[in-house]
Amino acid sequence: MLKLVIKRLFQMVLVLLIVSLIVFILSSMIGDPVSLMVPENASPEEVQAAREYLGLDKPIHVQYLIFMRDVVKGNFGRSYRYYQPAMKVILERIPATLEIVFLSVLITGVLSVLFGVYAGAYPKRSSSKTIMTFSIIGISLPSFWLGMMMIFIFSIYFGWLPPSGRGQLGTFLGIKSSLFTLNGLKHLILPAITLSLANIATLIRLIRAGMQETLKQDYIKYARSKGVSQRDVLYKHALPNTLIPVITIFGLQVGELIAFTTITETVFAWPGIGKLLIDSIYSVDKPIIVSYLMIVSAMFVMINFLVDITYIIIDPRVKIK
Amino acid sequence: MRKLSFIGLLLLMIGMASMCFTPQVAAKSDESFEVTVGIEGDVLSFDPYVYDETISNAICDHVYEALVLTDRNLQSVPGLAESWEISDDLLTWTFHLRKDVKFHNGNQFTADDVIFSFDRAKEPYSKYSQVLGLVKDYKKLDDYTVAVNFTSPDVTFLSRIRILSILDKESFEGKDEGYVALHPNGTGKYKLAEYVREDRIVFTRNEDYWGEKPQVTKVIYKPITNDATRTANILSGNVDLIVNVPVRDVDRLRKNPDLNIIQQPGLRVIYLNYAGWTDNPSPDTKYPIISPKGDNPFKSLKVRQAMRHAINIDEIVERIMNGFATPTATYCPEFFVGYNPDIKIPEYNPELAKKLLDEAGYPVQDSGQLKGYRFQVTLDAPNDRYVNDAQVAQAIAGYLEKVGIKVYLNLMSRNVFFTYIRTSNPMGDVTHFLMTGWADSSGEGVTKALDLLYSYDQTGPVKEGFGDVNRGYYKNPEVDRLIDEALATMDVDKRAELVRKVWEIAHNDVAYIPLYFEHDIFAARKNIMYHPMPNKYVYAWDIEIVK
Repeated sequence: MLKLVIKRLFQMVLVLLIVSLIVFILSSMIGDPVSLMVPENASPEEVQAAREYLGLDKPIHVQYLIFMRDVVKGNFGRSYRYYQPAMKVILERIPATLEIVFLSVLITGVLSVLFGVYAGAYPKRSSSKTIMTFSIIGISLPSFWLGMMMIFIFSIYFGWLPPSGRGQLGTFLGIKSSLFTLNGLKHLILPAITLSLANIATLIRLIRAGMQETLKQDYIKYARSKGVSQRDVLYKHALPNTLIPVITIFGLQVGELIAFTTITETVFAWPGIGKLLIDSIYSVDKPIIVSYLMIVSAMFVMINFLVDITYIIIDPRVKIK
Repeated sequence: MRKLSFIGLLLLMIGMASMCFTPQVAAKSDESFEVTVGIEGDVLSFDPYVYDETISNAICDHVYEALVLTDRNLQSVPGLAESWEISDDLLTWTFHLRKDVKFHNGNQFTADDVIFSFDRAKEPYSKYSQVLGLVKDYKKLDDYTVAVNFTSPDVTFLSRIRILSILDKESFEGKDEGYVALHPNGTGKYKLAEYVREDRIVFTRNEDYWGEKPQVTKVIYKPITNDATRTANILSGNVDLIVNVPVRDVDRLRKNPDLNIIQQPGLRVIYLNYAGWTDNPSPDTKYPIISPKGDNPFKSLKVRQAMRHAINIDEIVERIMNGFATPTATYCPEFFVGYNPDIKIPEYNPELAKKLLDEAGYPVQDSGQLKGYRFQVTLDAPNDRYVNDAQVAQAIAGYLEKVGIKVYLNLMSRNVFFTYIRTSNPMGDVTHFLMTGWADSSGEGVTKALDLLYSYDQTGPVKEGFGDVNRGYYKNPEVDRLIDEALATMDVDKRAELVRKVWEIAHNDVAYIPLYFEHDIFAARKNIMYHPMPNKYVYAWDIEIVK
């Protein structure tokens, strides 16, 4: 087990190095941050002075080496846009994104399992067919459009929920989050559902297919003949055996949720890191772009590691070499 | 399994109990006037020097003030300086500072703070070094008097000094701009109460303000970048006022009995520039001009006149901008000093355009790569910076093609575009024809003229600090002379007359083709009165709650 952890850590460092190199080079090609920071009528001397102040007059490999040297010291550079340390800016915004992701993961997990198991156990019922139709709709419709429709219906038409923004923060066990206030939850519901819809749709189909496969197996017949209740047959015996592919996909979805909530955050004016990313790309804020993508890569590696561990827990036959 | 669900239930109950203890929103007292505004972006920094852009400036103006303030006609009124004198040779200005002003943290405002701020304006991260462009030096005469000496007269100094906020020397000396951004401390009408990036900016009224206090005691600015979401917010009552209403939502909001639409022509003018004063246009470009004789067609006055007659500006305003733009014959807004009302928009006349092009020596070719056209140019334009910019650029290309000018349309995202057209572009000189916008809130026509029309050579400025937005390398020594003279003329009427001549000459030279001024559109709840600034700065003191 220890060998596994060390091997994975080494892999993570390697991935981070490669990602940092690629991102650094690519973000130097998407535009010139200096032009966006100096006034339009700045003289060539002023532009040059600004370039030197940001350290952008040096050749690209020198810039990269300086950046990596600072990273080792824990300094991820200073945002061109906010004049604050890049890591600080990112960490400030992460809690907001984690809130909607957490709620979305909860909703996705519960709903996809309930509907997927049901549709897999009773595929011929019309209610199952309805579930599958909704699942196709969920996959096909773009999430931002669904988000806007929900704002229109629940906020403007019915007036039940606020249209955008983050609610009030509350404290629970020392953690400050808008999950802990009623006002906060009201603001969280619509963006969390928007994030979940496509994922629920995908997972329902996956679980249903898996359940249909599994329920044909002999040991299920044996369990039924033994007198095991339907509920236990479905959830205790069949479901765990369908979960391996589901968890893989789910892990990837969680990673994507955390890293790329950009569109949902823009539609709902949610102050998270997805919006930070798109704003930074538009203004070519290299320190933030590079730091952000490095964090995200580390996170994906970590999630995949956790997924592998979960395999071992669920399926005793799996041994990781 | 049972144990797990029991623990889960317990946690849930504890959680719900803790929610009951979260602080409730305080009941509003009769004295408080609170308003929530949906703006289109967040402030970039609370350090007023590191950015010169609309939203950041407007937000910082709540906390910070300058020696001179701006009224709703963009004219200068006393601010932290209650009066000033100008020497007869116009080379020395003496400012008398207000004596009863305190910063938000209680520190007294004195001349030391002014000197500190002037020094800071020249730092590399500051965007305001131009403010002191013609200043030779400045010194403190006593605690409430500052003298500023100039290398040459700067009659528009007031319109420049009013954008330079005054910072407290004691709080900020020796601190970097990161610190200043996190600890705002100014003399302004509001104090920063809360700031969550991209979520909200909360200001409360400065009860010790030196001047007339605004009505609104608490204002919450919510940055909402998505247009549709902003509209949703005003429709659902989540905010009281929104800025920059998208044109497609205006009718819908107008029909709503709880809302008012406020609309006025803004300061941003959209226009075309072309390299008409050089034999070697855009030498480094990948898409050069293709003309039958290999010369630069923009050099010909008739060609430029033809282009002007080829464009149907009324159709653009009506069809693309839905009526939310005002066509213009000049760069200069109507209420600026030096506006020339006698310049008219040339009529839309494509037949005349074709005739002029023939006369200029550019007939339609009947063979070769220009078959069916007279010559080819590349139009560079942004596609995500100005309202419907991509569509307008496409329309322009269409109109020009109808009279025989082939247009290669090169649309770019803003962060690429503004590097592309800059004179210090690392790729070199790559543009010979572009569409862009410019807004100036000085209130002075001469400031616009010196930025946009003063001679600028392909190799660099003819005069340092002049013509930095003159993208066509327009050169006219008469225009330069008039601008120089206007800058040394203190008398407003005489200055206006000189500037009027500048616009007239530029119009006759067809130095540029102005298209239209964008409109500013706001929506507010019926109980809110809003008097917008013409420069799109949203100020809480322009908002009044009518009960």
